[in-house]
Amino acid sequence: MKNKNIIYKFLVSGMFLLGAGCTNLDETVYDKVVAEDTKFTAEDLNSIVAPAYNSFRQIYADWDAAFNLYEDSSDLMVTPQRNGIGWGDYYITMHLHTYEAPLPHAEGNWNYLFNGVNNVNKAIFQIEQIPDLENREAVYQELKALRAIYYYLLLDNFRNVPIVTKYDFPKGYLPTQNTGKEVYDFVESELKAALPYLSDKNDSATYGKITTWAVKMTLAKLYLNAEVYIGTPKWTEALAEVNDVINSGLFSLNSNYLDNFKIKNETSPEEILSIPFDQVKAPGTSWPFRTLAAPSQATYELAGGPWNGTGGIPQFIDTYDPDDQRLKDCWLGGKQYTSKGDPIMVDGKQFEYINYMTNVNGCEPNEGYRMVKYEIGTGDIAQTSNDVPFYRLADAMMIKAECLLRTGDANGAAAIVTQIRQRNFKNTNPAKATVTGAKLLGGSVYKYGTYEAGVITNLEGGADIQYGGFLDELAWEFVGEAHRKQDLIRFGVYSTKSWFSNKANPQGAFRAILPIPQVQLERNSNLKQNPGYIQ
Amino acid sequence: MNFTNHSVLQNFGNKLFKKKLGFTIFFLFTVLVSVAQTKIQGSIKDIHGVPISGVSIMEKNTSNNGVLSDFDGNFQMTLQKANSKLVVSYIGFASQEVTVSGNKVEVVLIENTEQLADVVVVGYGTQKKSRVTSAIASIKEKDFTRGDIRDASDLIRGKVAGLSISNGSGDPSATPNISLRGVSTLLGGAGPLVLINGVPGSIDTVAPNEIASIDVLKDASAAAIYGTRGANGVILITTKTVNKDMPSTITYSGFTSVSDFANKAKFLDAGQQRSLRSQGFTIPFADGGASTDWLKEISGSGFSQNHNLAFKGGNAKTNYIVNLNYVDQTGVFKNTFNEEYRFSFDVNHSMFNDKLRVNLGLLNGTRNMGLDEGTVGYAYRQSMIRNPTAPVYNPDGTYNEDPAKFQYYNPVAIVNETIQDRKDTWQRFTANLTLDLLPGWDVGAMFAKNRNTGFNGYAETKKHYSNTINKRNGVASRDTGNTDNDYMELTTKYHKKLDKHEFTVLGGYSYQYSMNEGFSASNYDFPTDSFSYNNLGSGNALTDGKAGMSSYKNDNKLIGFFGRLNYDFNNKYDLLVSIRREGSSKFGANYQWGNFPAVSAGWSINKESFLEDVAAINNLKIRAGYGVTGVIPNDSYMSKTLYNYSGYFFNNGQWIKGLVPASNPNPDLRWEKTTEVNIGLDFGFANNRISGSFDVYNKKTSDMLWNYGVPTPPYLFPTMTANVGKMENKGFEVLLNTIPVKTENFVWNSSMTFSHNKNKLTSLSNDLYKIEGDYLNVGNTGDPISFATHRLEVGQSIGNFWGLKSVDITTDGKWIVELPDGTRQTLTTAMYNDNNKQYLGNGIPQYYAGWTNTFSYKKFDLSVILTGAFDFQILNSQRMFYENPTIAYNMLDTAYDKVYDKAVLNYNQTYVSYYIEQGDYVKVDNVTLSYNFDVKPFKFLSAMRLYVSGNNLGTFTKYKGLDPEIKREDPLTQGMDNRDKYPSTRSFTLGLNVTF
Repeated sequence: MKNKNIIYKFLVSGMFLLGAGCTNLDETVYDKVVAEDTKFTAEDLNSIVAPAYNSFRQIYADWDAAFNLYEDSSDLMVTPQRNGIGWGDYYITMHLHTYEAPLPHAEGNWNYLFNGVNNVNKAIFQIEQIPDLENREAVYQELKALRAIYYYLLLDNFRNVPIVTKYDFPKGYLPTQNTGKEVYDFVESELKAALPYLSDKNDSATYGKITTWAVKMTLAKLYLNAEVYIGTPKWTEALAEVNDVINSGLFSLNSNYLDNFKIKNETSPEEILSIPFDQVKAPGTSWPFRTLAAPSQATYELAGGPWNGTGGIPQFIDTYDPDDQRLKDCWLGGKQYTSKGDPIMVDGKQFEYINYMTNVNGCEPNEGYRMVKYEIGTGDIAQTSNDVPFYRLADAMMIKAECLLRTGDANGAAAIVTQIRQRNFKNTNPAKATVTGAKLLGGSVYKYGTYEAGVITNLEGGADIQYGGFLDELAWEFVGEAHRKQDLIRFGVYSTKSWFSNKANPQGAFRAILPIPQVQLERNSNLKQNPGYIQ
Repeated sequence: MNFTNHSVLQNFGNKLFKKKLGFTIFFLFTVLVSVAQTKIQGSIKDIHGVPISGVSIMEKNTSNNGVLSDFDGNFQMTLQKANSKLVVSYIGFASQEVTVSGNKVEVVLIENTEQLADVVVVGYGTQKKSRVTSAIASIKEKDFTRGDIRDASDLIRGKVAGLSISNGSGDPSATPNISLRGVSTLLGGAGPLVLINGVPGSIDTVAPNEIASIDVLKDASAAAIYGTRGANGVILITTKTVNKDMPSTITYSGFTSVSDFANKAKFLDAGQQRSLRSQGFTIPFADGGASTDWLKEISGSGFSQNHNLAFKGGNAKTNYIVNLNYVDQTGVFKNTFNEEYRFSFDVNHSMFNDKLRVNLGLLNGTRNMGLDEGTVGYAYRQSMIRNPTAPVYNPDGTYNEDPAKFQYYNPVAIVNETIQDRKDTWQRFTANLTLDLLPGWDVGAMFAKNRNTGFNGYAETKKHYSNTINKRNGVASRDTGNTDNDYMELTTKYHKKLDKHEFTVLGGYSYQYSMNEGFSASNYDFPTDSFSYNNLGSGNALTDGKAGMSSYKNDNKLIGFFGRLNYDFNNKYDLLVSIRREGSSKFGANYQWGNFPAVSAGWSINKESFLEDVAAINNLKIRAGYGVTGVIPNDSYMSKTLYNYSGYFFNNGQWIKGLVPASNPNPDLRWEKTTEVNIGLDFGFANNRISGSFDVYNKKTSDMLWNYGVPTPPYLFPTMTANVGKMENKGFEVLLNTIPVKTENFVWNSSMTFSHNKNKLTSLSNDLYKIEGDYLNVGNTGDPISFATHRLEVGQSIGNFWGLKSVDITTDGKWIVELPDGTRQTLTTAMYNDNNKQYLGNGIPQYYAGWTNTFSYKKFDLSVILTGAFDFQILNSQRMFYENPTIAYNMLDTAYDKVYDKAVLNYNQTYVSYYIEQGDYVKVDNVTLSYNFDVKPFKFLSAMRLYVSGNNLGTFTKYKGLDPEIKREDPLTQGMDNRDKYPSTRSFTLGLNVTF
């Protein structure tokens, strides 16, 4: 036992020595900022706010974001299975309106939007830690208005979502789901509360920022779709908001439609709220690559072969007036040439985009026209620098026209629509720019019905669509701007008409509201799936 | 201590630690008395003809105090009696009794093969195998596999029950995937802890020729002394040492081998394509007029050579080993290679009457590698899908490309026009000091510094598709990363034997500091190809703001205190108790420290009086153990709230960087713990001609670390590293060594391993995290199919395939699937949801087996190693993607075969059970024939051995893919046979070992 005691003493003394210096588990963080060790100052403000705004790019343009969602589900565009290339799968269910909860489009939109919401909450949380800050309330209100715009999109897509306004939540906190009405009220009140604090200017300082006008546009959209959201139409309220925007005199239509979508479009007088993109610093879009087929690389000298996905649905392309310049402005079709003007040859034949598609389950690489309304720069990589005009004056004017149309002033509506159309017919047939109130009130010229390999197998037509003429105008003006799903739902067409491989299915009307993503249901037991979906 | 009885000596010779023996013999030498009668001379060598010094030679049944052999293995002694017997003994070798006839004796000592006498390496020391109470497998050098050996793992493949080593790739720079007793943690890449002479390191850093033994601590009662990372077992690699007087030797070991793909996928060749076209089938290519075997264009025979020189010398006080190893392997794919230099130096030094022993070691290595598996894997895919009638080159000598097809590139251009130089270097300095304070009590200190550095260069020339198609005009990058580890370990050990009680107490402290740092830069648009990656600044993308640059640095600490008690009563009852308290800086402030206790016991039944006299039973021991081990996450700082600058915000004409959180912080991050119960039986019968062990275990993992999904909102990021789930692994392992035939000239040794593991996920929730439905879909088929491949569900095993069950096909070639309710439906995309999916099999083998047979006939040895895995399924992704006639690329020659013998497939590529196949296989892993030369005629040679060997010679399986031994990386998506995998190779080797 004596020996044991010696050992014990040795060990204890050894441990004691070690214990003093060698139980220290300190570490050094070298390449990140440690929140606990950081005091924010007013100089950090822009960096803190940045992620809240940056989310907007993702929300609009990332994979399975708003662009894909609003267009792929619509009667304007489709991303079919491209033989040998892919796509298909969920893009097909998106087109067929057979989607259920595991849906990348829904997951993408949910994640990006709530990322935006959380980034706003995080920014507010951090700004609260800045001791001396001028205009503190204005900063909060601008961020809250931005968050309200994200919630407007959540409302539009998912309706019943949790309202979360805190970043520092207790351990284990699971948000509870709010009703569509609650979300609607939240968006409305937040936007209205912010209005007094926001800039009512339209200059380089407000570019890409939330201004009075961006808020009014959002309120207008909220009221425009109020009947869908809460069952109560609010046309006059919508009209009042866009009238403010239009009458501000700060915005004017571009004389050329395509000026809205140029690479250098940040000086566009028509834009009300833009999402700034930059090929290098702020990437996120990849329109040319998502839509064009590989041989078009030679046309634009693209840095890489494009991915051959989305194409225009032939039935929609057929609705254009041939003199409407927007057909050529927006769509690439026919025989294809290199940038030098030589024919592009594939397997011995000149490559040609045809206004024809087989069906959603299998299209050849050259089937369907391709959307090119965003200017494609020579040598572009998969990212583009065109800013996205999220709200533009034409949008405000069309809301006004729709409100007038729906409240009995069809001719007033027609005058506005005519005004917008003029730039698209001025070089072809100016007379055709004029539309009548009757036409807007009447049916759609879209030959709805199931389409298979160039043949409409059960013609439904669009004559029975109320305000169908106006719905067509919305399509021609805003195709590819992530509007269409909302418009189809508001005009009652989303589940009642067939187009391409999609069959009318009134029982599927519940799909106007997207399924809550499966993973969110799995992770937050407070969330219930939206009605109609497999629970 | 006073030994006069030979049998006692013999016993001790077998059982004492090496280092003690010299002293004991010396002691004996001085005590015993000699009376001169007959003078004899003799020499003592091992079977390789290497002289052995310090061997004790005694005259039996006399008072002769014996002698020790000298430096050259020679001895002289004077016998007291005529016709006496000599007892020749040396630690590690079987003692022999030699009858003296004449006055010259030559003794060849044979290394002790009686396994019970073996010493096994356990944590912080060694232990006699007979005293081991936990599940430890020990493989000595003589049992190592020979042949085309890439690293230490190849030496023991199929030889340790429960240890699965899969390479599954022909890539010469690939590292093996090693897992022990199934998947017990969800963290990817969590293999066993590998310690090289006690210092953590990668299994491929040490030259295989240098290794003396590999010990695997399989159960937690053995591994718990290592606390961290012990949950996946511990592999202890011990390199060769010299602990005796010996002449200087040089041993050369070398081999060369030739390798080829073991199997090739059969895609349509030019002739088949033309024949199909002429029969009216739609072929997605125009006839390019050529006949190209694309795979052949990017591959050839692989060649490798391995040369190893070991220098040994010194005496019992000071000795050294220097090992030089050169490896040059070229892979079957062009421009894949691995050229390695490994150098090690180990010196032992004893001072102050052997009270202080110093061991200094240096391990250094450097390797250069060519194209990585990602690059050649992509070239491989392109070679499969490319039009076999397209030419490699255009008439003007440029590479033939076809930009009209999506993601379709000339594989020859990829392989030839990508420049990849990957350099790794590693350095390890170790110093071990051991001080004998009092008899039986010593204290030790170990200091080590380990540095691993990677330095890579990468370039794509202007002939690469990055320029010819993607207009990047030359691409280049460099990157480097460095990991430094500082180790300190202080131990104290006390050993005492009191009558029938024997115990060893160990206490210690360990400190590990790790630091990682690195840098990378990339650029494109270069004025010339001639710089490759050597003049990065000359690219234009940098000035255009499109070049990339990054750097990082992070650190972490791991501190442990440990103690262990080994107790033995009367060589019958053994007890081991250990505890480790370990802290890691990676965890939340309140959760840094964890306790990892272990207890195990053994009962040597054969030593009981009722069995002692049963000659047929040489060994019978029951063992039982319980222990707790832990797992730490890979990344540092995850408990802290960290911000990064990323993403630009357009503010009044300026782009401003955003301050963004790096991840969801988890201040509660703590140890993942595994508790394991192991019960084992060791046996040896009939003179140990039948021996082995049997182990059953139950491993329970809790607080399982993983990147769990969290809801957004309220979290900013959709995943968070947290301790949530629970998992269970149960199984058994059998090792059976037999000597079916043993005659004077012919011996057949057989060693069989067999293991079974059953995995079950028992929870995916805790108070804070809950997953509705208790399941998650994981894995990804890969473009253009966008399906999850596996499902992780509570109550189920990991590795379950989840998907649509195809059962039939319509006459027009559409899949008919069976829904979970048993009804059948023609598949449409609308059915692509979980309601229509079901479990389709499991990718983890339920059973693994290995069978090593060694046949020795005179100077020939033949060893045959079979390995096998049973009861599992493989998703054959090559068939899923390419056995489909609707694709726009080249396809397998079976694409037009009728599915279910009914109709040719007419459905887009999709994931259905038709592509999930039975994976069971038996593989002839290695066959080696060796010849030991008689070196007597050559004075300068002391041993020579020549061998021929074949690796991966044949596979018995129903699997239609290339190799059912697939790559096993991510534990959650086991069973996926990646279409781009570098196909495994078959090799033939010629090797030579010579000792001078």
